[in-house]
Amino acid sequence: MTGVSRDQRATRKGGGGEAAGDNSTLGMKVGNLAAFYGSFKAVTDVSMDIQANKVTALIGPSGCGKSTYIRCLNRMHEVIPGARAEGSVTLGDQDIYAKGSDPVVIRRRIGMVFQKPNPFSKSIYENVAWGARINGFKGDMDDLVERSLRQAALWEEVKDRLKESGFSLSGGQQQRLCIARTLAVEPEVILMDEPASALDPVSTQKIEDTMAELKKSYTVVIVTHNMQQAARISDYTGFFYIVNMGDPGRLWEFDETEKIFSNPERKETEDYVTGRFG
Amino acid sequence: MAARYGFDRVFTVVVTVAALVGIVVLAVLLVDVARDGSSMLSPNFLTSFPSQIFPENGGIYPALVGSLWLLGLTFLISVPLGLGAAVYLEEYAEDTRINQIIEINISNLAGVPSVIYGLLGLGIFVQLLAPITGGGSVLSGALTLSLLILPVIIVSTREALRSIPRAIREGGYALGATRWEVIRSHLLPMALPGALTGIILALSRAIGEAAPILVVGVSLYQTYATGGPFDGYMALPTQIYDWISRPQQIFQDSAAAGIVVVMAVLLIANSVAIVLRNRYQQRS
Amino acid sequence: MPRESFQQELDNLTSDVLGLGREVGVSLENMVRAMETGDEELAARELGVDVRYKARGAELDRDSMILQARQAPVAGDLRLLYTVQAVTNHLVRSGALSEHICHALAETAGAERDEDLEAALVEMARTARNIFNEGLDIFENRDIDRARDLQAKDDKVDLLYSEAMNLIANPSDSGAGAPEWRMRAALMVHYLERIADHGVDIGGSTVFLVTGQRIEDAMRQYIERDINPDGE
Repeated sequence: MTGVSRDQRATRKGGGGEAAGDNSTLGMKVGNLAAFYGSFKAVTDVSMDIQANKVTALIGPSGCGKSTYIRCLNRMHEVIPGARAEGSVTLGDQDIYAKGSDPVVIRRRIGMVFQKPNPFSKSIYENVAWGARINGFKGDMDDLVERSLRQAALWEEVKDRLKESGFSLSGGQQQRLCIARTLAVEPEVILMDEPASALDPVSTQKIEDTMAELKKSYTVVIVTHNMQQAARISDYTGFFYIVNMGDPGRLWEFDETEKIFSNPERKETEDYVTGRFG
Repeated sequence: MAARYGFDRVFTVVVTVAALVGIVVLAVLLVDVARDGSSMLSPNFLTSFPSQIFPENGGIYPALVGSLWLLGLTFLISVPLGLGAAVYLEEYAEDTRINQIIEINISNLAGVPSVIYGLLGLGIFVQLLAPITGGGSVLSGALTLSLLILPVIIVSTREALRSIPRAIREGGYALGATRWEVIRSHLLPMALPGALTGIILALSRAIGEAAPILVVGVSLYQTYATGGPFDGYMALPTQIYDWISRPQQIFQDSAAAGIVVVMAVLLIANSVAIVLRNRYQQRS
Repeated sequence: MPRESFQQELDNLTSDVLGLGREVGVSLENMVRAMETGDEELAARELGVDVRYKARGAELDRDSMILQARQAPVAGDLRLLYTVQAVTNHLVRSGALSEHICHALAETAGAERDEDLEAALVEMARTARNIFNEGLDIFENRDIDRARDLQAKDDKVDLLYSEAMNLIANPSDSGAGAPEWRMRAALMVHYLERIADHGVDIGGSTVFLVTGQRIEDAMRQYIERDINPDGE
């Protein structure tokens, strides 16, 4: 398995085209992943098939490692001093943890949207353009910015004020701005760590609608505390669980969302989705 | 109930008086100095050399030029070094024992008496590195003052960097940016207002320091004005000190005028820095 | 316990359904006795009882729907509400059918009967009542092993049904009975077969409630299972 160097930074869709990535979107495979903070093991032995062009939701009680796990999928976990991950994570057929893999390139190909909107202290236009620019985008930037904002369902609301600061937007708009800037670097996978938990219901609905569109061109993985949200928007659901306090979190059940929410196999999954967790 | 409102009012008065006392005293000092120096203040004062023979024609020119040279060189040396060190310590260095020790000691260095820095400068810049610095030149003086104010710049820049939420960095990394790209495009611009505040404070202090430059060889009299980094130099604080030590009234007035000039330089320098800071804050 | 009030509401709904089931069970008992003894008064007392059952059924449906709207149930809770609605429907239909049978009994009280056919009817009625009670019991106790046995008992009802239809087509030598009675007898055969079906379906719904699988799928999987996984 070879790593990918920064020079091989290829934009997936080239200069233009709408959903050109349908047949080239990659899925991911995770094999026996464990994650550590120093000597503390936060996640253990997770194996998972993340299907291309599908939404995979990760649910589970607080503290069972979902956020830690999703951050391992684009090597953001190791940004924290002392944190590391073991195991294999492949994007397509490339192991992103292989020797020689450049985390900087990985993070361009596997984007992330965070729980609290974190736009840059720049104009709306620059927020979207910056990532593409540093990754060597040479095409029509105005066009890229518009395309990305449209895909994030934000264009109509900001098209007349692109020069205004990103902070002048509402919470829901800021989050969609963060989605737009992630799309602008043309990733293959989009990771979302509770993207709507800080937002009001209307913004949440807009983001969920956006996700339904996004999965046509990308692979999406989302961590959510909102069970109804997971049931509404995902194709596959993974339930994370911790048996005792201090144990590492593990993947307790993984199946099609329909199955998890109509007839899960394991009692803990049933207790969690029906809200009977004591 | 009335007692509670009573206390509230008393406290408001006390606090207001405390603020006013400081302002009033400062205003009185400034007015006093301006009055004393008004007889000497003139364009001639700014462009003449000091004179013992004809003190009424004397001026502050070489001291002014020397201080401006000091200010400029110190800025050029200390700001890049200070910003760079702060960025390294805050963003690149790992949280090891050694680095924790460094962090504590930098804060301590800010409290060291300035004359100690003078001694250090004498030993290193004036004597050891004489071939490079030219001995007791304005360059040595600037290097010494830079050492003096470096801790302040480093600490305030670090604070500014620290106050930037983690989320900004994570947002940058998540887009496939290198650490330097995140620092250059986001962290430095966002930290600049805070860092500039520290730099303003530091440079203001540097301009007024007499002890360290006395040790490293500031001239008390020169027939020429400083023209290059390796020249000798006079400085405003030392010139004022020189005048004040003389008994004649004319020298006292000259000293007062000199103080006004120092205040003016400080005011201009601060204003420039504040304008810069506001521009960066608005752009954010 | 989390969601205690929701759990309470689910328990109340379930016991309301079981209450309705017991009432329908009493109706069936009366119907069988009226058939066995020819007690015209007993049959007459059952008339109009289906209206009450339909009203109760509508109430239970409404309760179930409101619970779904308010509580967004998933997994086991969702299957329970789904099953409750299905079982309610089976109960209401069984009660209505029982009433129709009693209506027919009351109308043909004094008429001449075909003895063989009448015996077959009584047998079917007893079997249907037993199956119904068994189905309800299975639902109350969530005893899905017995549900599989119940599917087998349905076969017995089918046999009785065939016999009865045969007897209708070919009157016995001892006398065909009055034509009005004979016509109603044919209807009663149908109704009783339906009641038995409802009872079996209640058991089948319980299997879905507990396992999430339809009983037909479960049984087909059982039949088609690989008996020798390691061998040839």
